[in-house]
Amino acid sequence: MQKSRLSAKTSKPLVTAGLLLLFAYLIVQDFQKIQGKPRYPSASHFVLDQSKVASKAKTLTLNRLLPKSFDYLLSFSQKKEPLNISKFEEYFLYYQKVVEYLPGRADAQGMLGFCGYYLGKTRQAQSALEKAIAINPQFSGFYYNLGVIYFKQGRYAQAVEALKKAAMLPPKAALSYVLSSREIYAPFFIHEKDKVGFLKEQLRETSRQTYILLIQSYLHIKNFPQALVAAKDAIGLDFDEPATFYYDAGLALYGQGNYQGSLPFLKQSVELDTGLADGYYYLGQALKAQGEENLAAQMLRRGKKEHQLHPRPKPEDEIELRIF
Amino acid sequence: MTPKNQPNGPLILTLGIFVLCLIIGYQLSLRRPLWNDEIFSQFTVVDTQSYQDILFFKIKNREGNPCPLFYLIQKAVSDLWQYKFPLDWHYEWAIDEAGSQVIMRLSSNIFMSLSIALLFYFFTHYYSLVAGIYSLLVTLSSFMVWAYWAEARPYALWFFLTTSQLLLFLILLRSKNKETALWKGLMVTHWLLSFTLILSAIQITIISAVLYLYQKEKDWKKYFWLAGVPLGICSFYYFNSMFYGYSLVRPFQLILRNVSWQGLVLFLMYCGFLIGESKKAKSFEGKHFGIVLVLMLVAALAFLFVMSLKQGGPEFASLSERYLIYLTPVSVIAIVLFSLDLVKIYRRSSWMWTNIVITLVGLLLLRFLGAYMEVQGI
Repeated sequence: MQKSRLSAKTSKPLVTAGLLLLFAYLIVQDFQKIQGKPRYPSASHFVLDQSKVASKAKTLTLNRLLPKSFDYLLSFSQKKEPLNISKFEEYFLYYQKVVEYLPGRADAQGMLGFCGYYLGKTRQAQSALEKAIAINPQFSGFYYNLGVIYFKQGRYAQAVEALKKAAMLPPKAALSYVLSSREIYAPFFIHEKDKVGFLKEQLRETSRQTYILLIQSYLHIKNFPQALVAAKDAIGLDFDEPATFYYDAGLALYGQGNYQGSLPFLKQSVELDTGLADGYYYLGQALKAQGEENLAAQMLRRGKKEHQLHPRPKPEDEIELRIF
Repeated sequence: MTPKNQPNGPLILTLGIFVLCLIIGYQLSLRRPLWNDEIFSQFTVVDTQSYQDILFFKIKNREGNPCPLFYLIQKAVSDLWQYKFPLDWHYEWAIDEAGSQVIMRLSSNIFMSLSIALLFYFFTHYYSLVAGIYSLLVTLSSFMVWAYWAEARPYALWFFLTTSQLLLFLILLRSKNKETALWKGLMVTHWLLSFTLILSAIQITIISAVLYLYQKEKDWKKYFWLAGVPLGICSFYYFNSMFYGYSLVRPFQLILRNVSWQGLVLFLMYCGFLIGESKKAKSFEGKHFGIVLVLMLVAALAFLFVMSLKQGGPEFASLSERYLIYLTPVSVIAIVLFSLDLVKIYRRSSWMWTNIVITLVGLLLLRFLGAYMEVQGI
C-alpha cells in the first residue's frame, strides 16, 4: 500500500515533466524548421504571392515581359493575320519565363509549344507540349497540337495516337480548363460578350479539325477500317461542312475495295459540296468499278472541270496549331 | 458609480481589439501585392457589372461562385470611394498599387477584424477575461486568418458570417427561453450566408438540424425560414453556376490547414475525457458543440469525397483550403470551449489541472509556430 502511494507520488511529477519535455522538444523542432527553412514543394493556393513565385522580382519580371496585347496571337490562329516572327518572339519569351517560374503550368507549356512551333523551334515545341500533357492529360488541345506537328512531319502513326486521344477527351473538360486558366487563356476571350459561347465554338472547331487530321492520318497509314470508323463518328457529331467527312468515309471504303459501299458516301459528299473535285473523281472511279461507264465518265469530267475552275487546297493542308 | 454608469469593460476592450485588428489588416493589405484572382474579380465583375447583373446571375460566366453578396459589397465600397481599378490591367500576375490594395481589401479587413473582436467579446462576456484572451490567441494562431485577412475575395465575409452563425447558435443553446431576437438574428445570418456562397448550404443544414435536436423550438415554420429558404437560395445559385474542374491534391491537408493538427489532438483528448469521465458528462458544456464539430468535419470529408469523384481539372486549379474556411471558426470555438471545459472540470485536481494547462499552452504555442510556417511556406 505504502509502495503504491510512493510510486503514485513519484510518477505524477514524472508525467508532468514528460509532458513539458515533449512540448519543449516539439517547439524546438519547429524552431529548427523555421531556421533551416526547407519549403513545401507546393502550397495549394499561393500561386503567386508566397511560395510558388516566391519573390517580388519574379512577379515584376513576368509583368515586364507580358506582351501588351494578345490580339495578334488570336488573329493569327484564326488566319486573319500573317506570321510575324518578331511578335512571336515576344510571346515566346514571355511563355518561356512563365514556365521557368511555374513549370507546373500546363497552359503556359502549351502556349510555349504553340509559339515555338511557328518560330521553327519544332523540337522545343514538341517537348513543351509533351510536358503540358504530362501535367494535364485531360485537355484535348495539347494532344491536337502535338498531333498536327506529327502530321506535318509525316509521322502519321504518332499523329494517330495523339489525335485519337484528342478526339476521345470530353469537350466539357476542355471548356472548364480554358475557363479556369485566368492568367494564360483568359486574355484570348476576356473581351468576348458571350465567353462560353465563343469558347464552345472554338473548341468545336478544334474537334472538327482533329477528326479531319485523324482520318487523314489513318488513310496515310492505309488503316482504312479505322478511317471509316472515325469518319462515321465525325458525321455523327454533326460538324459544319460535313461533305469532307462523307468524302473520307467513301474514300476509306474505296480503299478497302468496297466500291459499292463507297457510292452513297461519295454521292452525299458531292451533293453537300458541289465543288468537291476529288469527290467527283472517286465517285467516277467507284462507278466505273461497278460497270456504270457513262455515269462514271460524267463524274470524272465534272471532277476535272471543278479542279480546273475552282482549285482548292485539301482541308488537311490548311490545318494549323490552335490556341485551344 | 451606479452599475448603469459603469463602463462596459469587455465592450471597450473589444472595440480596442477591433481597431487594432483593422490596423494590422491595413498593414497586411499594404504589404501584399494584389494577385490575379483579386484583380480579376474587381476588373471583370465589380467595375463592369451593375448591381442587377451581379444579383441576377450575370456573373456566372466570370466567377465560379455566382452568389452576389460579396460582389455587391465590393461594388458599394468602390462606389462609396468612387473607386475603379486605376490601371489598364494586361493580366499581370500581381500588381503593387497601394491605394487599390487598401480599398479592394477594406471589406475583408473589416469582416476579419469583426470576427476576431466578436469571438473575444463572446468569450469575455459569457465566460471570463482569460477565456476572451485565450480565444483571441487561438484565433490569431489560425493560418487561415492570416492568409485571408487581407484578400479581396469572399472568404473573410464567409469567415465573419460563420462566426456570427456559430456564436448565435451557442447563445440560443444557452438561453432557456425562446428568444425571438436571437432566432431572427440567426435567420438573417443564414440568409446572408446563402447569398455569399453555395457551399454555405452545408453549415446552414448542420446548425439548423442540431438546433432542432437541442432547442425547445419545434415549430416547422421557423425552421422553414431558418433553413428552407436559405437552402433554396443556395440551390438557385447552384443551378446558375458554372462548374470548374478541380484536381484534389493532399485532401487532408486542406482540412488540417483549417483545423490544425493541434486542434485535432485537443478534440481527440476531449473525446477521451468525455468517454473516460462519463459520470461527469453533464459538466462537459462543449459537448453539444462537439456534435457540430463532428458533423462539420464529416461534411468536409464528404465534400472532398464528392469532389474526388468529379475531379478532372488541371493541377494549378487544385481544390483549395479556402473552400473549407468555415471549419476555421468552428475549430477555434471548439478549441476554446473544450479547453475551458477541461480546465473547469479538473480545477480541483491540481496535478491534472497542471497537466491540462501545460498541454493547452504547449498546443497553442505549436499552433502559432505551425501557422507561421504555413504563412511563410516552410
